Amino acid sequence: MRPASRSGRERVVVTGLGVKTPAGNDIKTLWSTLVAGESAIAVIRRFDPSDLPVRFAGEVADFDPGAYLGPKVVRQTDRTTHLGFAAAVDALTDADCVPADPARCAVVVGTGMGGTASFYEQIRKLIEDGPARLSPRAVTMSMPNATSAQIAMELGWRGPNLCLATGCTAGTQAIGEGARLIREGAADLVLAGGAEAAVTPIAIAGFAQMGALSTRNDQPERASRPFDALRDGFVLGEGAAFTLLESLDRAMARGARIYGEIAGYGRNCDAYHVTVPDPQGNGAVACMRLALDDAGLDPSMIGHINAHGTSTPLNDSVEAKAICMVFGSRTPPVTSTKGAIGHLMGAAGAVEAVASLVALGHGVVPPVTNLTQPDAELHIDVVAHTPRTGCHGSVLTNSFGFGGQNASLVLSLVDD
Amino acid sequence: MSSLWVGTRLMRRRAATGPDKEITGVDRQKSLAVLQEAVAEVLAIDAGAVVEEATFREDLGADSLDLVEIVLALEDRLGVSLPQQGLKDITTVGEALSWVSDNYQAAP
Repeated sequence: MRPASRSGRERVVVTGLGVKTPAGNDIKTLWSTLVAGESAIAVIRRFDPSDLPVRFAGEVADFDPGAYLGPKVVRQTDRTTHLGFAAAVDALTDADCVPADPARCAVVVGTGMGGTASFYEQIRKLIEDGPARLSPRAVTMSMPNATSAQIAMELGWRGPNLCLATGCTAGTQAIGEGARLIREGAADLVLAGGAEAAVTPIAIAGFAQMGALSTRNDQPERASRPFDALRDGFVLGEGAAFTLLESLDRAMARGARIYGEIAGYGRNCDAYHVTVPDPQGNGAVACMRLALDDAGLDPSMIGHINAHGTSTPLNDSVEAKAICMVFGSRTPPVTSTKGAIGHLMGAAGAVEAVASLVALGHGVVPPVTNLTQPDAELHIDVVAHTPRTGCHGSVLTNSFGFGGQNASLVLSLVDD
Repeated sequence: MSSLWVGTRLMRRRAATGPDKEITGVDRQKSLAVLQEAVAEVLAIDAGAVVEEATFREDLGADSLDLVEIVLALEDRLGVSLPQQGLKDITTVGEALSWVSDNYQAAP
């Protein structure tokens, strides 16, 4: 075991995980889908997508918010909050947590758009029925911080409560910033994760207009194919994932099961373009190096990379280039969770951190779903077809968002 | 419900439609049923709990936003617009019933 702390700081570990994803609403189901290289992408079921240029997505199925929240709260909150709260409670339950001082229990939630479906519905009402018919909850259902507020209210957690709305980077940043709250001594327990339920006409049409989405309407299950030569855009997904963070000392004192350590965290910004990544990959390179430095690890100690890997032509090529700049010509095995479940926006990084921690525990790297024709222009070792076994060492997981925000986490087993 | 309550936006205001009409016992019962349904939906409680003596805040657990939602739910059911101040100065279900009756002109 490494020393109790690096430069005297608290070591932060993950002792609980919870997910609500298109590929399953528990860790076991999600993991089996990832390892099998299956796809959870299908034609949209929640509304009629006939008029949209893209008619498929990754939707969470068989989810009953009433199993987690009272009927009144279910009515008063957006699906983003339902999914986020449920995943957070699952993580807390999974951690089998002993009570802590509520003033030192924190919540950090990443989301790209907040309660998009509710906002859309209220805008429709405003235009069609007028301002007097608007719900008094139009704002509270839609605001990005609704999920972090609801988690705090339901659990009575009165410590730091943050919401990061940094687009597709938000879920990763939530876990990184959550770990920092413990390192800084501001909290003892942190529920950190991401939630997004943006499978809505406005988001689909908006991303489609940007040219960011795959348009493979005839084969939805084949549409998300990170690092594949035939990739044509990302696939929108919804869901949530949460981690329960605490200090290593606290976790060990209570004999908790430890999934892994948040060993390093880096975040920065491309400051280049709102959607196009810096073509040189400078922001991504610097971000990965920040996370490695924070963990005190050499690139050679990384066992695999869970890439941002969106399946857009540009992201995947710039990310591959950046990985080569950090790791040299022989990169660690690279996977992307998005081939199986699509891009969960503000929840993506949180789901990927969870998947990375489970992979770390198994020493197995899931393949990238739909990677049938690796892009010959990309000089990275992408895991295809079957899981890669015997991958020891830490995981580096990346998120790069529209807006140019980047975040990387280094996750390690504590007995490394 | 709408056949019982032939309310339209044109005849919604007492001021616009003339003097109060006597609310008969039957109308009051129908008003109560509509109110109970709206309150039960918004607060996600059993309609049986929505009795005239019940207070919105203490007994039924309503907050200020719920009271606005109840007005919207009543408007949906009655097909009328109700006054802007809504239920905010109202304490009990019985008072709300009178308020609804006062502000709703039953069809002839």
